[in-house]
Amino acid sequence: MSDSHDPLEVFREEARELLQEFEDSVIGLGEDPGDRELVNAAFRALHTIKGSGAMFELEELAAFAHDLETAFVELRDSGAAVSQRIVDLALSATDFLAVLIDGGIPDDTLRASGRAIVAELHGITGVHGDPPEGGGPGNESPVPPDAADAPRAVRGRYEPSSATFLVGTNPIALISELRELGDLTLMGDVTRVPEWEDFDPESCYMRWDFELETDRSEQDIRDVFMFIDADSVLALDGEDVGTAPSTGTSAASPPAIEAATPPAAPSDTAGTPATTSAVEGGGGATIKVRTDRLDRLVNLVGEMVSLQAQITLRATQLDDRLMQAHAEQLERLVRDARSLSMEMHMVPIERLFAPFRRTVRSLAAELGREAALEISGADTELDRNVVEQLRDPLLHIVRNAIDHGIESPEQRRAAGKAPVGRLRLMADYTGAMVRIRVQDDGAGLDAERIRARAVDRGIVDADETLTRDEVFRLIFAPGFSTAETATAVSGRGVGMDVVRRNIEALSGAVAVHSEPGAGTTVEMRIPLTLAIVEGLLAEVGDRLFLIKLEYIRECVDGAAATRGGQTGMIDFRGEVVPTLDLARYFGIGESEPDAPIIVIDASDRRLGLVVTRLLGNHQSVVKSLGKLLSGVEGISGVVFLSDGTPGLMLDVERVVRSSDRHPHH
Amino acid sequence: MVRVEPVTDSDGRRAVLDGDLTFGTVASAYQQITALRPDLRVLELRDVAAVDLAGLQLLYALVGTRETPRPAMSLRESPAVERFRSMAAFCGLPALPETADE
Repeated sequence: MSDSHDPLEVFREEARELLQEFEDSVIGLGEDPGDRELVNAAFRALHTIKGSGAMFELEELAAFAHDLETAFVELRDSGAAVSQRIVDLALSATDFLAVLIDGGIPDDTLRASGRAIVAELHGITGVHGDPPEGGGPGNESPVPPDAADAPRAVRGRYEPSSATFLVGTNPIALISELRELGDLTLMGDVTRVPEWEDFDPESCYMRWDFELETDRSEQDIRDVFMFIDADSVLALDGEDVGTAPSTGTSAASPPAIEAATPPAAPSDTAGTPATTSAVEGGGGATIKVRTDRLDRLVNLVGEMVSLQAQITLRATQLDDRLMQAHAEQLERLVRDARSLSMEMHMVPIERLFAPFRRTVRSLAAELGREAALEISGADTELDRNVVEQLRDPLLHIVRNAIDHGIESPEQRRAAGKAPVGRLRLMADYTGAMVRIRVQDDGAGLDAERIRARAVDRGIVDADETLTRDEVFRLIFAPGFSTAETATAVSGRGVGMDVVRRNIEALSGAVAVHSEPGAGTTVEMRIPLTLAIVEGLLAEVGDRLFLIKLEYIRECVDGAAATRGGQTGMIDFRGEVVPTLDLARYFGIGESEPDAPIIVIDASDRRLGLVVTRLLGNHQSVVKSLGKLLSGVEGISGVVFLSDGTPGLMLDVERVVRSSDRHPHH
Repeated sequence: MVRVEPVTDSDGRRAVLDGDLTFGTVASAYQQITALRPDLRVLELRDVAAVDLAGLQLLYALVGTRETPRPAMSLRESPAVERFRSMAAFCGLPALPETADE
């Protein structure tokens, strides 16, 4: 395990997540300065960064996290409200921490700035002792939060769960931390280690009784163990641990062990498992898995899906009932494996949204705006790869909303609005898609100005008739920008075009809605996953096309469809819907008049796609287009059918949009 | 990465363990040692780069403690064994049994 996995990288990844948690808590404190739980959350994040950093001998990181932590301990213990200055300082500190976590070497300026931040924080919070100068957990002299506490002996038992190693907890690190709190006497017990034949090398059988002579609070001791998993037990001063006490080597005179040897062991971390995550109470144990392994698993399941389809087809062709029964069973198993692998690939969109709390705060301050961010639907899950690719587009939309959407406090007051603008990031499910909306309550889009700019840029003709929605869509045209002066924040003239292209690259769609004076909503619809698609297979001419199920509203029998008075229209449940003959669209012939029609909804429009023949549902891995096909409009990928025949993935959004330009296909 | 190989000597009951002895390798080490039992009598830890508590626990399962040794197996003294002894002392765990005679 250790040979194929770098524990330091695991640490860095986790530390970045913890830093995000810290940042979220601090920003939360800016909004609710008296929330003690947020102070605790900030403290916990720093505490873990410190402890893990020390394990990896990242001394500057551990020391800095320790200094920050000390300030939050003071805040926690004093019960004082958190001022805006503390919030600002703590946020500045995260930048320094981020550099250290990423393994960067801060220059002197940054380092001095880090020290200044901590010194000021300590000054405000009233931390005693010298300001930090590379102090930290290694060489600190513990300062009791309550100096009036007299040293006393605290007895306790730590009984790790059998999964302790598996979830990445390192009892040695806990023991090291415990030693920092005072004079520690440990009695380790290995009597539960079974005979070789019954021994499971990855289970933990050890436990410890300890006595700690300390002037620190009980809470400080408990904090050392705050991240042990739910099945591990910490009992202090006579608390029941559920099992009879048992000492290790000698019940009569347990050895009082001193750290005769420097704690070399804690630095021996090469064996840290790839699975290094805390276990959350109430649910099953969670472990972390390298993302490349997860990607491989999803790809393998995707290949299994294709292979299973081939086996099913072959069983049908051979008319072998036993083989068909096996194929059906295989199909069920593969379906379950597929669902499971997809679930494993999903992450809550909170991961994408959370950093925007700080982004909005910083941008608003930079631009002289006041803006409050509201997040909803943060637990909506999306493919991890999709989340990563949404980061930049979302950032651009949010920047635009603050730069161009939300007015200055004065303008807002004059318009009868609250001086603080509201920006909402929302996510929810719509079928097999996730809808993400960025909504502001700003001035709204100026249709006249957009149109004038589009004419000026030659994007539309001056005499072209456009609906208001069509005008709004012009902001996605290449090179469009209404900003009179490009700012450092937005208005570079490439933004929304790039957003649109990025979203479409994810097989998604983006739209904008706006009301003058009331605000603007940019809406993105993104498929839940990119890994495996389910679609309807159709023949167009002599080619095979897969159309994603999420777009399909209904299939209509072409012979029975009531055609409108003009070519290319049908009466669909009382609604006149334009049709598009895909064979003509792709220049591969023409469909018969009674050819079936697939009614789809995409890009806020309904369209009937005329195909030659419907072949049925199909699920498949989508492969990227080769160089030869990459320029063909209306095709987004290649799929392989059960017999290995290649099919083409229809780019429905692109086809719908181009049907606007060429309505007579 | 860990490798446990029998050493050909007069009685052929000794094995040498090379590589890390940590959580990441204990399962493999356990399998390899199991394959050599029951003839195995002495384990030598040679060129062991990384050690941790899971590795120490494996040694307890194999050789027991000083107070409760598992007589069928013993360790040959080496720097790695010394590191495990230090770790045991730091963690307040029982000492490993005396090492095998040369």
